[in-house]
Amino acid sequence: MSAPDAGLNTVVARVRCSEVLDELSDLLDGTMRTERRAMIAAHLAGCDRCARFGGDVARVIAQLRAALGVPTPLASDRADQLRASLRRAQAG
Amino acid sequence: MDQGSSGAESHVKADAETDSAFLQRAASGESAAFDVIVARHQAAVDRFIRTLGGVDADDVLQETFIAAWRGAGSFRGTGSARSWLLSIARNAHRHQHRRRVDEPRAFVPLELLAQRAGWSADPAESRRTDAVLAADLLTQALAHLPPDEREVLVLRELEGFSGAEAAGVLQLTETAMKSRLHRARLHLAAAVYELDSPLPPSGGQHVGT
Repeated sequence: MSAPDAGLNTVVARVRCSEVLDELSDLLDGTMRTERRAMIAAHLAGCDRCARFGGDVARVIAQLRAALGVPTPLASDRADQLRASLRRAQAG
Repeated sequence: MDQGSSGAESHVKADAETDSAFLQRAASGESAAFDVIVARHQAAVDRFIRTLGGVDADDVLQETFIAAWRGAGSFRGTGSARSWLLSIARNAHRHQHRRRVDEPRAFVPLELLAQRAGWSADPAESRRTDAVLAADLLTQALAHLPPDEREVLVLRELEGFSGAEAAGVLQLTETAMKSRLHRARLHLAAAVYELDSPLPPSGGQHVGT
């Protein structure tokens, strides 16, 4: 394995860490070709930093969806205000 | 309706058809039909506007639905009513906001965002990533992102729009939308990392700068 101070230029399983970073969304969205996915998986199996980072990003997204996925209903005074404004426009 | 489709698909399709039918009736002047559209979508439209920020959300919300009422006849039903409404909301937001969301700005390389999100952190330094992040912290993190990144996250992650649908609302190619989404996700992870870290990262760089 390459020296840890190579940073994002570190190559593990013939894939550079910077490539994993660039393609992380394709991996998370499942839009990556099978062969490429296997290459990235091999990299992740041997690279703690990328595996941990990919997991962190995936968790943040999952938690964003869980926490904010359902929009907060409009407070009744705001909904009333919207309705009144619409009525004026519809009457005009 | 296609009787061979699954229950979930049928449900989605039925909703879409109903929205379309209500908008048709609204186009012929039936305000009660439009009230149904408002009731169904006002919370999501409001969330989108408030996520973009920098405006009086009530003004933009009203402008959006008034424009939708007036333009109900232009809804073609090729996409969802939700994406049609969010496109109108986006335009209404732009009318009221001095700065366009796609205005050129300082470019932060992806690698720097990754570093800020903790890519190079020592694995021994424990992070609280397994803990459930509070909605407040996520809202705060989202607010650190540039508006164009916030809106793509709302469309793809919160609304669950397909890539094509999100690209349609943003008037981008799907490739450009994907690139923006990727940057937005890393930026969000960086903002969460900085807000959630017990100790601030060294170097004095912050996601909001």
